Amino acid sequence: MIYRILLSLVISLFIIRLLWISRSQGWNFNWWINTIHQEFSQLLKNLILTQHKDQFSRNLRYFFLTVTLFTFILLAITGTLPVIAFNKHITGILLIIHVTAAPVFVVALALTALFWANFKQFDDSDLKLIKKVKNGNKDQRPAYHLQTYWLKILFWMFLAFSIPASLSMIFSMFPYFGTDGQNVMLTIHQYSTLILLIIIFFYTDFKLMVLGKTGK
Amino acid sequence: MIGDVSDGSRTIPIHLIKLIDQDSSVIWQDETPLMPFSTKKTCGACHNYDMISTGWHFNAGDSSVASGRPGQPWIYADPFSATQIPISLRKWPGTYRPDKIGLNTFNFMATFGRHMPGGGIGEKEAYQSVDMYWRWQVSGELEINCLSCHDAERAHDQSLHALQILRENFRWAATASSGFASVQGTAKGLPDTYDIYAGSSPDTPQKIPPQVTYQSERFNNKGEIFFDITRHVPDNRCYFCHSTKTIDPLRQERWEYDEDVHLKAGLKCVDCHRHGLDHKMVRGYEKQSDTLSTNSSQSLTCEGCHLGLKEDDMIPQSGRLGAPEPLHSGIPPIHFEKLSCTTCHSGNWPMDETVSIKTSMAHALGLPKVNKSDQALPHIISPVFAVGSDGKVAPHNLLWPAFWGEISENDVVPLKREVFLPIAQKLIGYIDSLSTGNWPQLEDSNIVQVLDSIKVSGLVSGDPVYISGGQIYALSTDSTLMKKDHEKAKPYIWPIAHDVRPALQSLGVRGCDDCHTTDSNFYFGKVSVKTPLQMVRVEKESMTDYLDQNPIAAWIFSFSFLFRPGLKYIILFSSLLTLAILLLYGFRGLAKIISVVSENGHTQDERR
Repeated sequence: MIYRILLSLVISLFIIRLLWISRSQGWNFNWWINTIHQEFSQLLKNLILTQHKDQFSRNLRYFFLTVTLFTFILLAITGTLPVIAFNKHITGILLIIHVTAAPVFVVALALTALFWANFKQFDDSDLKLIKKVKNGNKDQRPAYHLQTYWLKILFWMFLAFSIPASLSMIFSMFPYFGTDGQNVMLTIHQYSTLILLIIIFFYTDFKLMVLGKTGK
Repeated sequence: MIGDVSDGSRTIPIHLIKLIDQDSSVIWQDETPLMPFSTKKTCGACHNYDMISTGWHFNAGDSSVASGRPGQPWIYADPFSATQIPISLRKWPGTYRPDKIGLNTFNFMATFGRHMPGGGIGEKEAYQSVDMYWRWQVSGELEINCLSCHDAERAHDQSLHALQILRENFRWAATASSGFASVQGTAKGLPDTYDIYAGSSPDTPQKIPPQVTYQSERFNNKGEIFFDITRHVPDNRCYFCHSTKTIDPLRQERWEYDEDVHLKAGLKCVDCHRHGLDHKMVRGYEKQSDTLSTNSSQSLTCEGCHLGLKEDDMIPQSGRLGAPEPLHSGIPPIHFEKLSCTTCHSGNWPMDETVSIKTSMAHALGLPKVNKSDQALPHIISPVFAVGSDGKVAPHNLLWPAFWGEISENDVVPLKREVFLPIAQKLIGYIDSLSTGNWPQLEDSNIVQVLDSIKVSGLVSGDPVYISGGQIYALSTDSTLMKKDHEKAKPYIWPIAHDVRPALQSLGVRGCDDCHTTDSNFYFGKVSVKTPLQMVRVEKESMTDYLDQNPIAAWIFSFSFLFRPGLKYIILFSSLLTLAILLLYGFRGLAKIISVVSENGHTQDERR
């Protein structure tokens, strides 16, 4: 019950936030569809047509990230819909989609981690940023740096919480845990994915704020 | 009542009592005519008979009683007219009231009372039709036969009770079964004017009226008899009405079957199926507490004993009667939301195709000269995994209704026996030289012939139809046979809970593959379609039809289990890779922090 309330609350807040940003930026439904379509098409096009090794690697990196996000959205929809709407576990076609998307997500996430970890590691500039913020020192682009810093945090948090989210379900598929253990595993899965959902919402929010300011 | 108030002692009182007849007179051996004893008077002297008669086994005719979860119906079966129709006095969807097929309460009792412990419509005038008044006077009331359940006497013979019912000796049924009396004669052929006190009419000397003889040595010098009465009803008493025989070509010997695992563990049927003085039986399903005045029934379900009830129970409830708490290792919780316990643990293990079964109530098992043929009607099949009235999947028994009816404004009602029996038996009845008890194999033309004859008989107002094998058959305008689906042609199913198999024989014991494969019998087993019509006999239905599952979705889901073992390890590897990256960079970050912390605030000397 608590999980259902929290889940509903998180999703409701996110929808409100999305609507608020869309309204303030003047983004309508068509804009969303076009933007998503363009981004995805461009990504695929770059991936297929790229000749240069470095650029290919860059596109591959973004491809894995996109697949991870896409499958996560799919998992989130199929996983949360029956809980919110009917207070029931997922079954039927939603379960089929969920269990099909899950391995793709986990593999894509591992590859995303592999390709992105080096770019998302904290370095001296982050340390300087913290010092500046701490000392009240204003840089020319502090907000942008701060966002990058936060995105790094979200990235590592996402990786960290994806571990219990996926392992809890994998372990429950082996005959090691009884009914109580299974329920504990399910609870771990539910709450860790809830945190993943919150992380994704923050990530989206940061990205949209950048998009609103820069237009790209 | 003196016998109904417990003083707390757990010993069973000795029942050394005088026999009392229906007129409240004590029965003495030397009196004439010698009367059968009345349980209502004999047992009712110390026990509240009226309250007992409200119990589950006696209250089917009472329309004010909640029908509860659908159970096994009575089945009117006649091979010579290719009929098997579920009937019940309870309001179970899919069953018909006996009067719909022309069975009044007297005929209903005379037909099915063989496997009833009496009471209910057998003794209450309110349920008895006026036109059968004199027959009731001749046969007497069919009182509750307390001995049917509570008699621990080894000589007790419930089949003699059943025999008296078939002979319409209702008044004598309990006495005949008691083990200390014998009953000769039959009320069936006696004229309506027969009087038990006046005896037989000199005009009909060939008719032998029911007569009772008591074993004189059983009476003591006070005219009392010892009844070996027990509160802990022996399983053998329950088995008389609640036995099931599986017809499996691979297992034909009785010793190849085990009984319910609970009985083998030393429990009795009544250890779970309990009741109080009102005899409102705990049927054992999860939501029966909705229809019972006490919540205690909830703890006497599978879940109640093995898992306990709610966590906030004041007293721990699980492990009742020594019930072990199952581990259910590796079984995702969704299974407990969607499936009843019986799905995995009860009934026959699902095979490629459902098997036929015979039950005491449907096939009159346990009676002398009963047809022992495996083909005998009615045809009941099992196990069919279907979504039950509680929304959970459970194993069910299934009966395909087959009967002659009439359709009017798309509503089908069965024809009364007096309408269809003479016509159908004459046209399609066959000589059952092998005594199979099976129905004949029919062609379209046979059905057309019977339907046509019923139509021209003028006995029906609507169009005559025949229902069988899930289809309704009617005459088209050019007198050919047409068939279509109809709600009334759907099979009647009722959930089963026994026999419970041992844990090591439950579904899922070998892993997910017991159910989640593309050819698993749980999802894709074939449900036999039982019908006398030759052309549809080969048809089979899929179990998914009863599971409320899209067969394609079920197949895709099952197919995914082909890759699941491999995917499990891929996911595990991927997760471990992610974890490794996380740890690697985590440690690097930690190293950086240590480096920064150790650089700050340290003098050159300290560094050295």
